[in-house]
Amino acid sequence: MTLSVQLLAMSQSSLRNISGFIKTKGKNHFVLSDAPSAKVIILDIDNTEGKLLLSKLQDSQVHIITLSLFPKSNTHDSTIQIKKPFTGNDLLQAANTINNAKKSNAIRDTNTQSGNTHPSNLGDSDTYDPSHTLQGMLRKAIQLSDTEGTPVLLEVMQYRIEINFAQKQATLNFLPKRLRTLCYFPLNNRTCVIKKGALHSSFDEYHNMPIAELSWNTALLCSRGRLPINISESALYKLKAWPNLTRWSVPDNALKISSLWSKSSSSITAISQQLAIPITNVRSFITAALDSNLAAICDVTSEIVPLETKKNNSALFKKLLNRLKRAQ
Amino acid sequence: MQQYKLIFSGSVGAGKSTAIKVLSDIDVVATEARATDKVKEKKESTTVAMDYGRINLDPETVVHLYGTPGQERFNFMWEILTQGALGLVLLIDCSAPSVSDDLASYLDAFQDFITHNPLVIGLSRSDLSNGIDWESIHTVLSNKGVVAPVFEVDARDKKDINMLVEALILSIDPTA
Repeated sequence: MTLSVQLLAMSQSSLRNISGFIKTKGKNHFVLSDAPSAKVIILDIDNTEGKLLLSKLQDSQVHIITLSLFPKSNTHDSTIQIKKPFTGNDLLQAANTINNAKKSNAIRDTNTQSGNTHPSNLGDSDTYDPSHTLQGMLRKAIQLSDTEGTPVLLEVMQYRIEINFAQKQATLNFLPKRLRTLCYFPLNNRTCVIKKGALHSSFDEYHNMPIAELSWNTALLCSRGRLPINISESALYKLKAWPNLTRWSVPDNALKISSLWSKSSSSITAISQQLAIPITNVRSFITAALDSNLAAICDVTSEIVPLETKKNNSALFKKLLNRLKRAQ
Repeated sequence: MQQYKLIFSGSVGAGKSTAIKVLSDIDVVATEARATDKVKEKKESTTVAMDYGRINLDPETVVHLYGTPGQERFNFMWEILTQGALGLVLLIDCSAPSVSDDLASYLDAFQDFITHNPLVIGLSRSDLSNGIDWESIHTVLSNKGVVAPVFEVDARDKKDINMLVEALILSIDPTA
């Protein structure tokens, strides 16, 4: 049985190597997933983020595979430790161990209802509360910078983000790829501090990006196919402007969703049905578009323009799109 | 044989000829001459009639790629070239002094065409600018009543130009 797996708190090269292994020799054991319902998480715990994530995940129902130079003896039952340097066979053995454990549990606990208690799920698995995520904290920081007219600093552990609303710029003291891990942490006012201030010049390397891009990427990473609790699937939304998809993160079917949603107001459900795409794609898209101020909620009386497509060129379009995809 | 065409237009030096080269299956036919006006501050030569490239989708289907000259004194070519085109790719140079004004003027020049045909906009040479003023860009589009894909692009980058064309096609038919 293939196990859906997420890779967290690891370097780009480890991510690449393990992903490559899973897609080839490991494909009968694992399938890569970014969804909150992934059954297994592979964590590198030789860094601060990994250690922190491990402490938060250990009470959840998800199976954890840790990668470390120094495996510990006092670990949770559901944690499988792999000592570095590791091989693909170590990962395959871990997959077999998990599958065997699942079979044993299934036989023993046939009457037990196991809910999805992944820490990134807060309540219903289709919805989440952004106020407990980096997305919500970022919104607060942006709002504060706007009302106060000064730069605002958002701090989570050693990670700092400076928001300068007047210049529409965000500055990070970490690589943008680290956002993925930060978006998995539930945050509150103790773990995330927001205050007026700017990054000190003593930090060696900063990464600048437009606030809209940071908002878009963060919202996508926090949403992961779910809808914020204050967003309705049946309400009407419209895209005011297209996202900058050549430079920002591109969620699945983003071009199609952008095209349809820019023509007319529509609901999340209707977009998913008209394009015949998973509703999770549309949820992520609208969450990011609303946060980056590219979309707005429409009045219920808004006109919905029916989708009319020029079917006489559909063969051309398919050929051209296939050609463009092959050329990537 | 089924023949279609895409038009590439926009400001001088924005990368129209380069974008066509990136997409074309044939060597691009360029009609260039030495620049003699203020364009020479940007580059040595400039397009004076049109650039031509081609995508051969299959033996029976061809997409012709036409690049217009950027200078306004050649604007009579713009209307001629857009006749019967599938869509317009507008490239705007972000390193120019007034990007919003350039965008507004090209939207006006092609107003008749883009009222009924799809448009995508590529903002090029952002690495040579102080950053893209997205608010101004969106304001111009909103004032003109245009909702079109606007992407930051490097005209030499195949992925960027492919995404522009993909967005153009999906603007016509999102279900394609």
